[in-house]
Amino acid sequence: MYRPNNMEVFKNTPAWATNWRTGMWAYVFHRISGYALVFYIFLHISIIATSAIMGPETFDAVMEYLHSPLFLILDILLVAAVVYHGLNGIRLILFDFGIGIYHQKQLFWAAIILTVIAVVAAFVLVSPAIFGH
Amino acid sequence: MSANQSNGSIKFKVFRFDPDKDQQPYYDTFELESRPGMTVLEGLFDILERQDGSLAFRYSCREAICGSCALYINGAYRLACQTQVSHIDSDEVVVNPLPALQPVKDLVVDMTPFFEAYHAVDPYLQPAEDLKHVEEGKEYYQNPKDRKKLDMPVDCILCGSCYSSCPTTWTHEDYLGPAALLKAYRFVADSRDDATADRLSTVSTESGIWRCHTAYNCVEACPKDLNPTFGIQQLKKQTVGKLLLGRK
Amino acid sequence: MHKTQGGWAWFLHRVAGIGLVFALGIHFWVTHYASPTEVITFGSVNIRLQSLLFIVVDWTLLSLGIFHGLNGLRNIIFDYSISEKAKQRVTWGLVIFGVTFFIYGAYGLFAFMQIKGY
Repeated sequence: MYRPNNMEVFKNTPAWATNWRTGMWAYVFHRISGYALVFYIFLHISIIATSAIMGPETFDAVMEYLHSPLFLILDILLVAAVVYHGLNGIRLILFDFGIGIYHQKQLFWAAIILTVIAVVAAFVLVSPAIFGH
Repeated sequence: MSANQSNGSIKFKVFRFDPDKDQQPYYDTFELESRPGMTVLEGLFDILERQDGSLAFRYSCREAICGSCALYINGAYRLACQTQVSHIDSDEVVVNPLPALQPVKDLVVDMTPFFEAYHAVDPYLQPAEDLKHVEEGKEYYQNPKDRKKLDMPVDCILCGSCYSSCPTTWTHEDYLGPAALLKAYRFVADSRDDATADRLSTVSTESGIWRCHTAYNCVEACPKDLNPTFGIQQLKKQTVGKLLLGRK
Repeated sequence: MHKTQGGWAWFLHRVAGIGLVFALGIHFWVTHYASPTEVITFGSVNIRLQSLLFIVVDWTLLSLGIFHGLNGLRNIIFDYSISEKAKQRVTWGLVIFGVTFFIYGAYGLFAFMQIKGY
């Protein structure tokens, strides 16, 4: 007998109109940034360790290459992921202590606002390097 | 325009699936007369009685206490019996069964995994030995302060909304889910219950409390405004506390 | 008698998370944002790694970063219905992967630290 996959009922409702509220978005962003960061950390270790092992000349050349506007802008995306993941992580740890479970939405917005501030600050700080070329 | 306030017509778009006939689920649209104060459950009865006698849905008490008629209505988890058509902010009432559970027929879903999880946490009081010797017919005493801790978790009506809304149950069929874990917390928090150690070892598994990632979907879904996340976090706290202090 | 499962992994995930918040704060500020126009060189890293603070920060980042990242991945995989045997395989696979990467990363860090006063 055919059994439908009952996740189909979600497809009839756009994501923003479903039961997804603040907490679910916090969870989704935490997970997406987590995927990105775990991918990034192994890329990061590989590149830095390999070039360092190959010697100072290789390392300096790689660093010079990575100091281009493209990678500096990607660095800002990295800041966004790290800061959000870290702040939301603190939010989750507060819940583990029983703090803020009934104020989880305000805590999420605090994390978002601080992330935006960090990204803007990072952009302002790095802009001379990005536009200085 | 929101669904009709006064007498007029209202559209019901209803999820249909008959395993004996259909290869795919589909939606039927019914037009019915709306009355002031009409609930979604009344609308479904209207369809059943006047338009399509084959429509299947669950209901029992019609006063939001039995938990039978939880449905996914216009993108939110609601009890059909306490949702007035006039409160739905749409021209059309879209009625779906609880997502992530297998449809049996139309709006009826297979609640087996939900109740399996519920039974797995031993959802009954296990009093201490000395309390068991209390004479037959006497109640177990509990002071008001201890009883207050149970105010939230005892209100669960087992409608399954939280279980259906939880992102972990969407991918993990053995996850105990918010309702069963809240029930476990209800007994862990109960001053008369003496099985806390057993209960914590039942829930602190990779299919139990650690699978809760505090997405709060259960809190949003609960038609009784309960907070399963709070209960699950308390269970985590107690489990880790025991681990760190090395208490068995 | 009463066994718990997964409690330590969950607890250490949080501890590592808190450690990373501090270590990453220092790492990001010093390497990228304190003087963003300067290009990092082998020499500057070499000098930085002569101070105890950065030795601690960099080794913390390497170890906690790998643990937190892979345990997070394990948490995501465990959100799917898989058999107990598969869970064990995933755990051991990630342990082997993590240890290998830690050794490789440590090798890289030693490369910076070997030559004093490069």
